[in-house]
Formats: sequence, C-alpha cells, structure tokens
Amino acid sequence: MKENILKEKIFDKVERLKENIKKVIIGKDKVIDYVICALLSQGNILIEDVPGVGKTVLAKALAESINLSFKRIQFTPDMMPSDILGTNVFNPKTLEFEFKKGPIFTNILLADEINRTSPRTQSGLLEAMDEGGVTIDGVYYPLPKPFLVIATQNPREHFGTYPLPESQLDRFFISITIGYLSLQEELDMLEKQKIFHPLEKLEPVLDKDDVLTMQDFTKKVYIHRDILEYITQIVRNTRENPKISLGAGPRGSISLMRASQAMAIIRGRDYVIPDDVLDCSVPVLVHRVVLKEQVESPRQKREEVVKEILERTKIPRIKLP
Amino acid sequence: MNKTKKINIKVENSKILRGSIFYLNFVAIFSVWYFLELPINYILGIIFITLIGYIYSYKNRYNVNLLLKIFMTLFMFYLLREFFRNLLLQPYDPRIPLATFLINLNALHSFDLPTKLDLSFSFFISLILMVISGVFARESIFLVFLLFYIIGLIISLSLMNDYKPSTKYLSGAILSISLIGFLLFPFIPRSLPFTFRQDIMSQVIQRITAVRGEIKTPNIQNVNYYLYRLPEGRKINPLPYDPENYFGFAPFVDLRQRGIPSSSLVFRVLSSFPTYHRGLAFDTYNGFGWYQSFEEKVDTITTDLQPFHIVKNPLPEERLFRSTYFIEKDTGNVIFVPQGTQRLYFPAPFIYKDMENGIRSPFEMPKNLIYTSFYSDTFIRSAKLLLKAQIPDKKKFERYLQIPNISKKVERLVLEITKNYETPWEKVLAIEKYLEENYPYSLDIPPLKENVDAVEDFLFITKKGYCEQFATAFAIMLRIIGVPSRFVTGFSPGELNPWTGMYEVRVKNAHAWVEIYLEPVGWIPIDPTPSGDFMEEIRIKEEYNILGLIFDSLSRFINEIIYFLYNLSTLYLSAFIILFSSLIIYFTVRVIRRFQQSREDRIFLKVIGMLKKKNLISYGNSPYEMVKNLGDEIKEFVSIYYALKFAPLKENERREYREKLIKKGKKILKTKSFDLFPTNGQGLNKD
Repeated sequence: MKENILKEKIFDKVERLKENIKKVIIGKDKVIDYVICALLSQGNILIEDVPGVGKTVLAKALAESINLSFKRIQFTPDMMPSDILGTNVFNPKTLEFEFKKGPIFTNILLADEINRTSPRTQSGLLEAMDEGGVTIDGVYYPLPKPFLVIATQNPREHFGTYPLPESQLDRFFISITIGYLSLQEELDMLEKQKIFHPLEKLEPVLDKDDVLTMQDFTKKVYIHRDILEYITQIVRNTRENPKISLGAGPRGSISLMRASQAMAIIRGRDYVIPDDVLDCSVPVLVHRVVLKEQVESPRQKREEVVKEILERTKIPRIKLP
Repeated sequence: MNKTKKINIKVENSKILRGSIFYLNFVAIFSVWYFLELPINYILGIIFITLIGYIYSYKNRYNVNLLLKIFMTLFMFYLLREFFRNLLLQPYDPRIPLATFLINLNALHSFDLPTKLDLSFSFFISLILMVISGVFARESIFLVFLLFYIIGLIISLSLMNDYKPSTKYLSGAILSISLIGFLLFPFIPRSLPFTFRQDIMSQVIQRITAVRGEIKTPNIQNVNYYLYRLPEGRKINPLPYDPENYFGFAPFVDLRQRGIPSSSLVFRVLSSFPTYHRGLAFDTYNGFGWYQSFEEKVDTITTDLQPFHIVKNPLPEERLFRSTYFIEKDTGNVIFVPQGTQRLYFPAPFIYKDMENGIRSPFEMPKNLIYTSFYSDTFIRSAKLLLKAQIPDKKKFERYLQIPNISKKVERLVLEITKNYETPWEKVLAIEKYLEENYPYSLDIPPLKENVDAVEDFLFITKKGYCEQFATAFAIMLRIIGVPSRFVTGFSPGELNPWTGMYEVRVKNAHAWVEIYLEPVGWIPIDPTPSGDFMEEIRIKEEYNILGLIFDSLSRFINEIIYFLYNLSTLYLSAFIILFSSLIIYFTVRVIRRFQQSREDRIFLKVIGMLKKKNLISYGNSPYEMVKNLGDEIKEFVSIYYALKFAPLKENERREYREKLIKKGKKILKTKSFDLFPTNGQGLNKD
C-alpha cells in the first residue's frame, strides 16, 4: 500500500515536471521525455544540433523546475581543464592553498559546444562526470547530487571542431537532437514570448530529494525477462549488422535497460513494455555505433541503421497477425 | 518452466524440401499400404500425424524442444517393444512388422526435423519402405507408385544438395542409377534360394469366400465324385489323368487312373529332417477306389493368435520340430503337414480338420503361400512299444475294418503269410515284407479290367504296381487280420537341394501309404511300397539336413533374443507408464494454461485484425505505436494487453485483467461505427 502511494506520487511529480517544462519548450514532447529520462537514470545528455534551437532554454527550464543550481560553460579551443574543474589558489592571508571550485560544481551543467575545445579539456570534463567527483592535487572533491551534464555539440562536419572519440561518446547516456519547430508551433512560440520569456515566470515543482527518490525508484521498475532478452538482442544486432563496423558495448545494453525503466515511469507505468525499449533505442544507441562506409557519418544515417535493426528484431510475447 | 532456448545448429528453412520429403513419405506409406494390405484407417491416421509433425517441426525448428525429445525417446522405446511383440505374436513376415515399425518411427520423428540431416533420415525411411513394398509387389501397378516416388525423389535430391555443381552431377548419377534399378527391380525374378528368411508364414488372408470345408481339386470341374461311390460307379469311365495334379487329393481316389506324373515343383520344405508330407486319409474302399465316408464332416479350428492348435494341449514350440512350407504352385485346399503336427502357423483366420486328421485350408492355396508346422516325433520314440501293441476294440474302428466283396483267395493268402507270427505288429511286418519282396514297383501297368477288384488284380493278375496299389492291398490285407487301417495320400520327402537347404517336392513325389491303429501307440504310418521306408527308418538313417539345422537353430536363437529383448522392454514399460502419465498431466495443465493465455491473444488478434480491416491502422512494429492515434477505448485495451504480458501480476490480478480485456475486446468488436474511436486530430495511419 505504501509503495502504491509512493508510486502514484512519483508519477504525479513526473507529470508535473513535464507540464512545467512544456510551458517553455513548445512542440518537443519527445525531447522533454528524453531529458527527464536521463535525469531519472542519472545519465548525461548529448545534444547534437545547430545553434539557436533552444538547447540552453531546455537545460535552464529543467534546472528551474527542480530548484537546482545551474551553470553553463561555453567551450573554446583555448580552454584548460582547470577552467572547468577548479584549481588550488594560494591565499596570502592564511598562507595556505585554497581550492577554488570550478563551474562543474553544480547540479545541472550545460557544456556548450563541447567539440570546440581541445581533447584534453573534453576528457577532463568527461572523467569528472563519469566518476561523480573531482580529484585535484590528490584531494577528492565529490560533485553535488543530483548531477546532470547537458553537453551540446555542433554537427561534426562543421568547421573548426575536435570531434569526440567513440570512447568519450559512449559515456553519454543518450544523444538527442531538438530540431526546428513546425510553422504553427513557431507561431505559437512567438505569440507566447511577445511580452516576456516564460522562463522568467517558471516555478519549481520538485526539490532535490524528490529527484533522488525518483532516481531510486527507477531502478526498481519491473522488467520482464523476455524484454531483457529483447534488449540484448537489439544490442547484439548492432554488433552483427553488416553495415556497422563498431556496435554498442555492454554499457549500451545497461543504458538501454535503464532508459526503458525511466521511460516506463514517465509514461505512468511501473513495468517496462517493448515500446519503452523501442522509443529509447534510437537516442541511446545512435551515438554508440560507427558505420562502415563512413567513419564520420552524419547522425541521420546512423539513425536509419538503428531503426532498421529495430524493425528486424522481433518483439517478444506480442502476437501480431 | 518450459523455456524454449534457441539452438545453434544449421536449421533447414526450405519449405519446398520439407514438402518434397513429406511427399516421398506419403507415396511410400501409400505404396506400403497397397502392397502389404495394411488397414486404411491406420494409414490415414499415420499420414495425418506425419503431416502435423511436419508442420510442427517447421514452426519449432529453432527451438530445442527438450520435453518433446524426451517424450519421443520414450515413445520410441515403446515402439521398439511393440515391434518385438509383433515379431513374436504374429510371425508372418518380419518385413511387415518392420514396415509398420518404420512408419510409426517416421511419424514420431517428423515432430523433430530441424536440420537437413533429420530430413535425410526421413528420406531414407521412405526409401526403405519403398523397397519393402517393391519386394511385396506382385503387380506392375508398383510402377505407378514408383513414378510418383521418382518425381519427389528428383526434387528432394536436388534440393538436398543445395545445387552445388560438384554434388549435382553425383546426385544425377545416383538418381539415374536408382531410376534404372527401380525400373528393373520388378522384373528381376525373385526366388527363395540364397535368402535367409526367418518368416514362417505369409500374411493372413482375410478375404475368404464361403467354403464349407469340402476338398477342392484344381483343374477339375463338373465331376460328381459321389457317383463313383455307388456300385454303378464302376460303369463310369475313369477320371482323366492330370499329370500336373496328383489324383490322390480328391474326394474320390480312382485306382483305375493310369499315367506318369510330371516333375513340376509343388512346394519346398525347410526342415531339419526329411519327413513325409501327409495330405488326406481315406477310410472306405469300394473295390476300385477310396473315399471318406464323412468327407463333409469337418471341425473348424479358429484362433485369434497364431498358431492353430491341431491337438489338444500341444507341446511348447521348443520341444517340437519345425518345418516350413513354401508353396510353388497353385494347389487345392489340402494342407500338407508332417505326421504328428501339433501347432500350425497358417495364414488364415480358421482351418478345417476332417475325421481322418487331414487338415484343409478354407481357400485354395496360391503360389508363394508360406506356412509352418511344428510336429513332434513322439511316435518314433515310442517305437519300442510296438512289439507289445494290441489290436483295439473293433466296435470303435468299424469303418477302418470294412471290406468289400473280396474273393477268399486274398484271405487265404493273408492267413498263409501271417500264420507263424503272434503279435499284431509282427503280422503287419510280415505282410509288408511279403509285398515288398514279391511285387516290383512299376508305373507301367495295364488298365484295370471290369468287374475285377483292384486288390485281386494287383495280387494275382498284374503282380506289379505303384504306391496306390501297394497301399490299397496292404490296407485291405491288414483289415482281414483285424488291424484298423486307412489309406493315406501325400508326398514323399522329396530331394534336398544342398544350395538352398530345402527339400524340393514335385508332383512325381506324390505318394500313398497306410496308417494302422494299434493300442497304445495310436495311428502308425507304414509305407509298403518297395522304394519307400518305414517312417522310423528315415530317422534311423540319420539323414540330417545341415542347412536346415542351421536355419532352425538360428531362428530359435533369434527368437530367444527377441524374447529376451521383449522381456527387457517390459521393464521399461512400468517406468514408461509412470512417466507417460505424469507427462500427460503436465501437458494438460500446460494446455489449459495456454488456452487461457491464448484467449487474450485471440481477442487481441481479432481486434487488431478488425481495426486493420477498417483501415484504422496499418501494421507496424508495435501495436502500441499503431493505435496511438485512435480513441481511448482502444488504447486502454492495448495497454491492458501489455500489462497482461509484461507486468508482474499476481494470479488473481491476472484473471481480473484478462476478464477486463475480453470484455473490452468484445465491446470494441461489437461497435459498428468509428465514432466511438475518435482520433486525436492528427489523422489516421500517420507514422
């Protein structure tokens, strides 16, 4: 009974969070779902898109809705790891080195144009978000919880970029694109923002503890064994597909499982159905595969291949004519 | 519980190959049915089961099916046991139990045919069945079956080899060789020599036209044998002589017949010792011929289980001698058996036994008929008793002592011969010795004169003759001294063919001798013909047939092995029954569960099918995706279905959900108009 109340509470809160973000981001329900999904699964998001589609607004809206601290780093080629993590500074008064925290010490970090900086800086950030803490001069500083990195990167073929290697990409939980709005949606947006930006009036609907309980609950979502089999089958198929030279690793399967669990919560269920897996597969797997024909292939082509794999993998237990 | 795991073997996906192999089996089974005369219900059932098996194994070709395999193994043991049982109980031809065994095995195996190798087993079984039916075929209609078989053979052989060029030629060569072989096969003369056969009788002939048990004679029609029995019968011309058929196997043995028998083969006998083959016995002599006074009075011997018991309380088979007859020529209905036959395997549902212990078949015996007699040699063992043997009470044996009007000359001669002897047996030997020493054997004798008794003619006028004359004279002379006697016709042992190990009995081996009755031995056969021997002398000569002994002991050995295996298999049976019953319980529980589960699947499929029919959805990867633009009713229906499939539900919740799903599904199915399923405005069939 207690569990049922908790369940209902969590479903309700997720719904409210969704509605809150929707006030700011118009017509991108799916994207919002994925962002919440990453939040619930304690994963990091990679947004691949052109400038000006609302990446920052999305991250800000999320942070505001949960009453979390938010910081933004604009990556440039001359950035150093210490610019992100922080550094020890000598304090002449106390005659001691004092640790000055970098912008990474926050709940939600927007790492803008991550592929514009040098690989050294990139790896500094990625290591930090992987380990959940920073070690500087032998001292370990834990990052606050919850912690979510929303990294954006310009399409790889753009000029003056340092593309992230596959090993680094694998550390992102999901990768999404936002894309442009339809004509009607864009018109609505303009109408709404004529006087003030809705972000200014956004009020928090959750607090930190809520997020932590939700993250806990996500791990308990029931997955039928056949669906686990289905997930492994999908991931295996990415490895065996003739068009793909490098498929998703075991981390891909774990991520897909977690994402499906989170997606089930977002849709108000405490058990996973194959459609959750289907919907999560593209964002979870698309940045983990490397095509044979072209190492630096555009996202669209990779998506096509993953979708093809999904179509070919048989859905378990469901009978269809 | 029954997790179906995927298997990592090379699974055969070709439907055409499976179809063609099934077709081959179909043709082979039907051909076996036609030529082995198996019941049609059985064959149709088997074909049905095989078809289901093929479909099942195609659908489950990627699964391990462990339970099915265990079940199949047990069932195969059972079939093996049945095979042994059939071999023991119905010892027709072992090829028929073998064929049914293979058919059953094939039907069972058809449930598990994932790979090409499994299919090839099925293919070989069909080939063996085809060969068996070819061996049995006596009609050219086999060619029709063969033609149908070869069509399937071409398809499946080419498919089995994956069109690889190297094996393609090989299969072509095999195909053409087998084609030629098959075409030639029916024309190859099939004879018994050089084949080891354990079969002791042919297949039971069930279709019998009404016969009362009278003696049937081949090639003779419209003869009223009863006329010859009358005194006026003497005036009728003698029956025409047929060199192909001995005249002794007829209701009336006319001693006036003269002729030389042909040497065509009548039957072959596989036995360890040479024996006389007894046919008919006659009790009444009318001066020129013999007949049975109670020809029509026959006992019917029936049996559900072979063999027939000729005597009451026969000895077990181990203590009897076996002799198997292979009929080589269409003959009448007289069954030839050795003296002392106790058990008889004969391919008929019943047989007749007449008053003189002659055995008659309910049909005229065709060529290729096989039957087996188990006879005892107790009479030979009791030879020592003969010296003290006594003449039985005359009242009981009146008809064996009846003498027609015979001149006193014969009586005087008999008394003259026997005057120095006391016991009946010594007197019998004296008469026999007298006949053998004073009368030569000859086939060339003049016709019998009118109004002269045949015995008188032989003893005093012609003074030579052949076996019928000797036997008639001997029988009548014994009757004069009061010994009951009867006239017996049959065949002498024939010649041993050392290559085949069989005695070949021809028409010219037809023979007549005499049986006398003495207490306490019973009926004793004696051959008074000079060339013949005493029955017991045959054994004293120790003329063993080595091949016959080998065959006899081999068959006995095989029989013992089969018995042993059969007894062993009864051990399985109890274990099998327990396992089988538990399996049945398990499967029924599973079937009930599956039925309940399938209820939800069925209603779901119906609803999805209806939506598709009304063009509300198009088939995609996931039903959830398909119905996302439809009304809430349907969405809810689908989500209940998903919950049933994937949610961790308790049994009562599950039942509740299932009822809800079915209720909703029925409601949706009843709705005629689309209005109840409003879309969310994004249009139908999008995405």
